[in-house]
Amino acid sequence: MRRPQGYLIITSPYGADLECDTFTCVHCNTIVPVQPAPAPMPGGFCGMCRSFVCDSCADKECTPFEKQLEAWEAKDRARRSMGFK
Amino acid sequence: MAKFGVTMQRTASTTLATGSLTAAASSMRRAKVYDLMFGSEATPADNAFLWQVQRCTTAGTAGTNPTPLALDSADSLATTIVAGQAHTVDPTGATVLMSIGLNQRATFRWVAAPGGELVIPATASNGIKFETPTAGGLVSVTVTAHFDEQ
Ligand SMILES: [Zn+2]
Ligand SMILES: [Zn+2]
Repeated sequence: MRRPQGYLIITSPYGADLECDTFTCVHCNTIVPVQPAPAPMPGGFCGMCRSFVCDSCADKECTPFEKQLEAWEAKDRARRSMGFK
Repeated sequence: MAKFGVTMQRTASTTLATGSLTAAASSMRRAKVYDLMFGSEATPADNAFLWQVQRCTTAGTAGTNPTPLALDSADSLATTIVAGQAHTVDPTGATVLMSIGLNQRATFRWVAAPGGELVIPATASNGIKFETPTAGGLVSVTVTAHFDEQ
């Protein structure tokens, strides 16, 4: 794929190494292996984020992972400020 | 931004994590995991393994806490990220971030390009864990992870 976001290598005693590109879902941070063409491209593409999404995030609304991270961190800060651990 | 490496090991379990990387309980910082290696150092055998990386919201109870080592000796030790191995109580969470079927004789490596990393939020005890939900042989398995403390 063009501009992959990762690469995976499986080294096995049987036959050649298995290698392929990966992308990282921009909505949930899942790592998705991409088999070389002509295999179909897995997942989908978010036009808002201009990046690839995994199968389970395809056809769902745009929820950028960075926004979710910020929400988790804000919730944790709020809990701490109230004295919870 | 300092880079660290840590190796986590256990006798494979189908219900308990081989290892986990979670934000500390205080002075949390984000970390980006950019390099993962899975494999078994046991006597070679044809056993089926399924390796998964899952997101977790607690650190569980680790058997021991291996110390992440700075890849550049000029960097100081990461105390913002806690590594655990051979858990006796599994970290909470089951969101799968990566799932790879592997023969016990095979090794797996994934390396992220910049922007493709797995992110550990700066949220106490949240992070990622490494599981073998399928383990054809309960043999010694190892995960090595490299991460970039933000
Ligand atoms: Zn996704
Ligand atoms: Zn989006």
